[in-house]
Parts: sequence; C-alpha cells; structure tokens
Amino acid sequence: MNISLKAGRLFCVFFVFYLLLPSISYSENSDIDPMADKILRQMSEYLKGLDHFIIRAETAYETVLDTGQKLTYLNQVSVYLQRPNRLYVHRTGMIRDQEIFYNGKTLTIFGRKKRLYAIAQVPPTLDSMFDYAISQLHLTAPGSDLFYTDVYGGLMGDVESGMYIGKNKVNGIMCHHLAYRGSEVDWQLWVEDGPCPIPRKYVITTKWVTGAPEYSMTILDFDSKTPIPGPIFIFKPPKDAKRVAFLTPSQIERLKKHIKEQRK
Amino acid sequence: MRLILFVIITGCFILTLPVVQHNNTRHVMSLSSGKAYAYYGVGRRIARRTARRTARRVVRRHSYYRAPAAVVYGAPAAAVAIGATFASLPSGCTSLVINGLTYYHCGGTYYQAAYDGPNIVYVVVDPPR
Repeated sequence: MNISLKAGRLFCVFFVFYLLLPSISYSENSDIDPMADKILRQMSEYLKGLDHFIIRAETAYETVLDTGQKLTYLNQVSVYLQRPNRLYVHRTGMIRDQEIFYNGKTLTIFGRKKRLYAIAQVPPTLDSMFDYAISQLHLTAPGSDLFYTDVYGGLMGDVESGMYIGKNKVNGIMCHHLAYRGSEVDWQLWVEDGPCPIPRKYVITTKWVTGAPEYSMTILDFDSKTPIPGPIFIFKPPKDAKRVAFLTPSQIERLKKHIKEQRK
Repeated sequence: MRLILFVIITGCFILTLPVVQHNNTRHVMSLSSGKAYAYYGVGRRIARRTARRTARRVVRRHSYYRAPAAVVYGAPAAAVAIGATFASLPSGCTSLVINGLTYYHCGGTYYQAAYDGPNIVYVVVDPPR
C-alpha cells in the first residue's frame, strides 16, 4: 500500500514534469516578449497596407579599418516606393551621389558623380527584385528589410530573442524601442507610438565582426499621402552619361579565383 | 593706437583665412577622392545592411571575395591579369571610346568600369581592337 502510494506520487511528479517539458523548451526557443512581438506585427501590417510611401532618411554605415579605427559614412536617402513594382532611391554622401530606378522590368543605377549607369533585367515585383539585387547584383537598397511586403516574416527568420525596451523619442517623436537578437546580427527598431506604427529608426549590429560595425537608418520623414509622380521611376540617361555593365556572376567567379591565386 | 592694432590683427586674420580654408578643402578633397575611397575598398570590415535570413548567406559569400581586398581591391600592381578588379584606376590614365564602349588606358593596360553593387570598379580587359 505504502509502496504503491510512493510509486503513484513519483509517477505524478514525472507526469507533471513530462507535461511541462514541451512548454519549457518552447519558451526557450521563442524567447520573444509578447509586447515586442505585437508592435513588430502592427508595424508590419501597417506597412503592408500602404499602396505607396515616400521616405527621407539618414543612414550611417560603419567601417572598421585594419588599424581598428572605426569610420562612419553618412548618407542622406530619399525613397519613393510604389507597390507592387516601382522604386526610386536617391542617396547622397561623401562618396556617392547615386540614383536607383526600378520600373517593374529593369533596375538602373546611376552614379551622378562619375556619370556612369548600369541597367539590369530584374524580376517583376519589389520583393523578388530586392532578393535578386542582393544575390545577383550585390546591391542592397538602404534598409530594404523594411520595404518588403512581409516585414515581420523577413525579420523574424533569424531571431533568437526579442525584447521590449520601453518608450523613447526619435527626433521628437515618441516610439516603442524593440531589441531583437539573431545568430549573426542583432537589430533594434524604434516604432512610432500612435495610430501610424511606422519605423523611425533601425539599427543592425554585425556582432561577430571585430569592432561590431553597425548600420543604422533614421527616418526623418514618412509620407504615405502625397501621390508619387510616375515619371520619377523612369531613367532617362543624360547626354554626358555612359553606360557600363554590372559585374557578371562569371566575373565574380573570376575575381574569386584571382584572389585564391594571389593568396597562395 | 588700439584701433591700429585691431586693424593689423584683423588684417592678418583675414589674410590667413583663405590659406587655412584652402588647406582644409584640400585635405577634405584628398580624403574623398583618394584616401577615403581607398579605405572604402581596402582592408576593412563592414556592417551588414540587412537582418533578413535570406540575405545572410549571400552577404557572407560576398564578404568572402571582398575580405582579402587588400590584394585585389587596392591599387593595381605593375603586371595585372585580365579580369582583375580594382577599386580605383592607377594614375596617368586616358579614357577612349571604341565601338561605343569606354576604356581606360593606363600604362599598357586596358580597363573597363563596371558596377559591383553600388561601387564602381575597374576590370582589366583585353586590349580593344
């Protein structure tokens, strides 16, 4: 009698433990603050619902030199995005004064300083174009993470934890501060507090690279009301501009081989 | 007396001003056209511009061929192989247009400009015919 009672208790303890087990491991895998998750989803849904928007932003791109010194390159960026397949980006800074045109068929990059442009055939939607530009043309639009249709799905692909930090102002606008941790990069997002949950600041930390350089984008102006004039997405080459090519995948392969040879 | 002193000092200040300004501008100019641009392409560790998982593999792959840039992505050495890619041209180049294509001719080597993502690079090509 006594023994069976003990066995019963033991069984109960193990049974309860067994029941708890999946929930414990689950909460370890998705260590995401519900508040952070909610705000990120709200922002993603809000952006998905917009037909077009115009952004004026400032980006900061850190570079760590071999000496260990860190340089920050600042750029001023204007983005005109029209769903499903129009984009115009103008970024200016010390090194570049560059325009990017996407009209649903081709992507053009025009360097206004060197008067050189390149045109590539690209996929017919913004999402597929971004993927193509990153993988085939080695071209990342500034903060393009926030311009995909499903921002939430894209950002959450490599997330280990997410925290809700609190409220803070970005350029005088009250925002929710979110901090997410991934396997290779950490990122932080400041989302406007109010009826329009738009991103106001976005910081990506490349944490395993020595010096942990950061990329950041501060959105100074977000306008989804003013209609975008259609011609802005169409590139007309100026008379003094010359057309050049994008490096082809085979040229990139060649370059890799060349590096290997030089290394030996 | 004080007025004269004031005029002399201000005069000196005004005279030195353009020189100082000129030096500053020159410094900035050299940084943007030469040094900084070289820094941009050579021996550097860079921040990622995306947090998306899909982009990660790609960025890593590119950083592989960009990382040893000190060798290839720097200023060209004396003898350069066809297909070698550089962040800038050596000095003393002339540009010429042949069959509508622009070439840069530098000490016996021909280059063509190309976009590697957002960066202009110069690829060594066969001499145009």
